[in-house]
Amino acid sequence: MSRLALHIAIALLPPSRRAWGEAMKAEYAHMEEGQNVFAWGCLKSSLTENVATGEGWARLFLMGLLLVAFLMAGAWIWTWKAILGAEDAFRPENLAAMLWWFILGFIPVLIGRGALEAMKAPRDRWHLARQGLTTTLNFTFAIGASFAFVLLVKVVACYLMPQCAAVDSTLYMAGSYGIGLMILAMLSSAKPRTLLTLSLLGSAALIVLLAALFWGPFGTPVQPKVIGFTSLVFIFPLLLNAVAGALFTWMERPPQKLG
Amino acid sequence: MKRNRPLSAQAQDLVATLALTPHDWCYGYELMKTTGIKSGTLYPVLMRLDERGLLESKWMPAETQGKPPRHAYRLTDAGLKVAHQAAATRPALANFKEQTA
Repeated sequence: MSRLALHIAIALLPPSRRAWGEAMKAEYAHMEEGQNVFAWGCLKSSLTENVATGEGWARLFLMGLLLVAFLMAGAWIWTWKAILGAEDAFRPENLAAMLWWFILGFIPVLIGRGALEAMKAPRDRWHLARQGLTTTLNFTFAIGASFAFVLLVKVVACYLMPQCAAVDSTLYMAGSYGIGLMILAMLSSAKPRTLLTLSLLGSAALIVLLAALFWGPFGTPVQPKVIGFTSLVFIFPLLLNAVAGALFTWMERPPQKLG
Repeated sequence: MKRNRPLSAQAQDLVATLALTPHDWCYGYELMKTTGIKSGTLYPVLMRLDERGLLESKWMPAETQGKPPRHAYRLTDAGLKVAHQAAATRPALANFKEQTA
């Protein structure tokens, strides 16, 4: 039991304190008595470090965000299932759409993580720009990948079940699917060497994603506009972020390369 | 910006204990036994002292075969200076430590 407490203590220590975890573990191995009290004390130390350091608070904040993301994702899936009805909810294309909503629920975590990284050096323009743009790109990648996945499932499902094709417009599906894949290919093949390239890539990916979302993956001509408008709420701050990143990069003299 | 708060009572005890043998390396278990500070307090205090540059640490090979290397600690020059200052403000404790060492 004490060994387990020690392992938990080491696992919970903030990353910058990991060496201390190793020190505790080594000391534990040399103790002849009182190992139990020692191990529980180490667990207390570990918890204290999470509360006493900024890094620990950041981890707690992220954990909280993750919990909220799970709840949000769950709520969205629940709503989606209620709209579709129990019978239709488990059709492959609808399951895929639910997964898309689930992924959407984790976007606050992605943005929160980026914000925490950025706050490590709030006065370093270059660091801020790099972090902001990386987060933007990760966001676009997550949306684009999930988007392409949903549409792939939809296409396969509609191919297998002809009644699905009657509901979905092939044009919308093919168009959106193609754009989704384009975003995927663009992001996975590009390895920008400068921050400006990263900024341009992020902005381009966002614009393409926005266009794809307006065009719409879900079939009817009305829904895409709604989805597009909702997405704008997510994408607009990121677009601003991309512009700010480009400005910061332009202000940096001499220009730095991405390491 | 890092704040340099005054040392806690336990930190002062620990610094005073380490200052008794400034050139020797001490292990965590030894320090716990000497100062009576439990591991739940000892390690956070050691971490703070290390962060403030008052403590240095290194891995020492184990004296017993089959056991892992141990993390050992001693005060830096800055740590010794702080220990002397603390002893001046808490002479009774310093005397007690010297007598019981």
